Amino acid sequence: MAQESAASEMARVDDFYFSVLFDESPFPISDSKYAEELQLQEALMSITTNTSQTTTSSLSSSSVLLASSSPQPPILIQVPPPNDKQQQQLDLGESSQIFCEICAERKPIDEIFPNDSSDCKHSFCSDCISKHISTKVRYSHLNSVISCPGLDCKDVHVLELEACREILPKDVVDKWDDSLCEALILNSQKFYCPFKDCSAVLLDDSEELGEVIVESECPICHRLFCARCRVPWHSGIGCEEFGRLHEDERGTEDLMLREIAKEKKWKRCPECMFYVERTEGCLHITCRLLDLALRCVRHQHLGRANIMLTSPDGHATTIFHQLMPDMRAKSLFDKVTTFPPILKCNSELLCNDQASQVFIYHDSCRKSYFRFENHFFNY
Amino acid sequence: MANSNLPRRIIKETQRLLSEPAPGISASPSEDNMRYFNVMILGPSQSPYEGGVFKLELFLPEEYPMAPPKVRFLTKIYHPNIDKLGRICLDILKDKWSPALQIRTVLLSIQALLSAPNPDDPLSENIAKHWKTNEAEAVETAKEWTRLYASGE
Repeated sequence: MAQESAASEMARVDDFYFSVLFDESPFPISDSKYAEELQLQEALMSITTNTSQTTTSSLSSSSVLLASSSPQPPILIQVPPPNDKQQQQLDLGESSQIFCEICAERKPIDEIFPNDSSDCKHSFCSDCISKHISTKVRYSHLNSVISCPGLDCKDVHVLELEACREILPKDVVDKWDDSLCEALILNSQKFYCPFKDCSAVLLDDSEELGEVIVESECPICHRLFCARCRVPWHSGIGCEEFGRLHEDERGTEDLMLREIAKEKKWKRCPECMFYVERTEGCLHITCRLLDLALRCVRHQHLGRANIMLTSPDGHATTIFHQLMPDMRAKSLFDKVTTFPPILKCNSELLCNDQASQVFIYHDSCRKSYFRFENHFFNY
Repeated sequence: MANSNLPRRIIKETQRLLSEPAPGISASPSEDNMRYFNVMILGPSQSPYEGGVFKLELFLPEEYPMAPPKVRFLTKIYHPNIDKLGRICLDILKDKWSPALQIRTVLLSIQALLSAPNPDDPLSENIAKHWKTNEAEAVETAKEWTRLYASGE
């Protein structure tokens, strides 16, 4: 009985100390005022303890309990007996209230969040704890650990969902619960539905199954996606090829266009990347930017190129071999012009681009390129 | 309008800031908006900012005290954790915020940051680099800036 009342007294003393701390802050700003206030609070306390203890114990002189964090017997100190009626009234009015440091209001004890933790002795009101958790859950969704808001309590006293369930709105409980579950899943296995308006947390169990999962359906929004590339499903194109695509060309519409182009046999200009359709005429298509030979497909294979240059007067020809990548005809011709001059005309060395005709036969892809003046031919 | 339904906590903090200002710090709310404070911090002694008067603005968002106050230097300052827009790199203004902290503690922390610049966690890359490669010179620049921009005129 005496123990019980001691415990409730202790809580009350804590409350007064916190209120003093709040008013004076943890920084030593005015020590004298701090001490004065403490004395006042202690005197106030003495009244409470006096009035309540006289009924349960036979202590004749006034005493005050000092706040203590351990369940040791409380220390009793002697203080002068109370003589101020006003103080007594004030105290009786607020004796069952606790000061919440967050909202700076005195709250009845049943509105105080019950702190059963052994890690700290902070007491805040349930309303503030609820708001604190709601803010954390709403704005820092990746961090499911929520600490007691008390200073120096970060990661010391972690608030538990079960202990807080009753004071929280349902949507906050659900969201907190989800983020706790999510935190249990290893980061390597966790990914989000690639459709931004869904973004459900999904689990990649390909490791357990021992096979790579590619085409999958989101169980939440029921849309298809590629679990390997973690993107909306890239139909008609393999993962490797998809990986080679430029970032701007990975959208669903881009992929649809690719499929149509394949069907319609549209080709892309290798420089400006525009799709081109040949309706009629020869295979030589002039790009709005540069010449484009339709059949020229880019392979980056190195191969032996047999090059024949004809002198401007058309009489002399020089033939040589060069290891070259099989590239677009024009690039190939441009490359030839950068070689050291080998074109001879009347025993004079000319620049290669002065050749009236250039003929290149590429071994590895068995293709020929021919330039006559400013005309290019491929076959 | 903005001042209606001002939480008790803000009123109490304001009263205390006005009645018992922390040494070297003054903070007073704007008349039109009690959530907006004009703040002045004196450069701490034995720091390159000594003798300077630094103006800041502090705003208590709707969610305060669950969300931290927004604080920004208005006076130009050469400091590795403060950028040219006056934004401050301080953990308690971001993820380390706790509703048990107050305007007073925030301002005291900023004052402490002036005494102890932390170039290892910079906001201004260039200033931090300067600080790490040639601290004496960086301190000189900070003093120069204090004279130029924070002399209180």
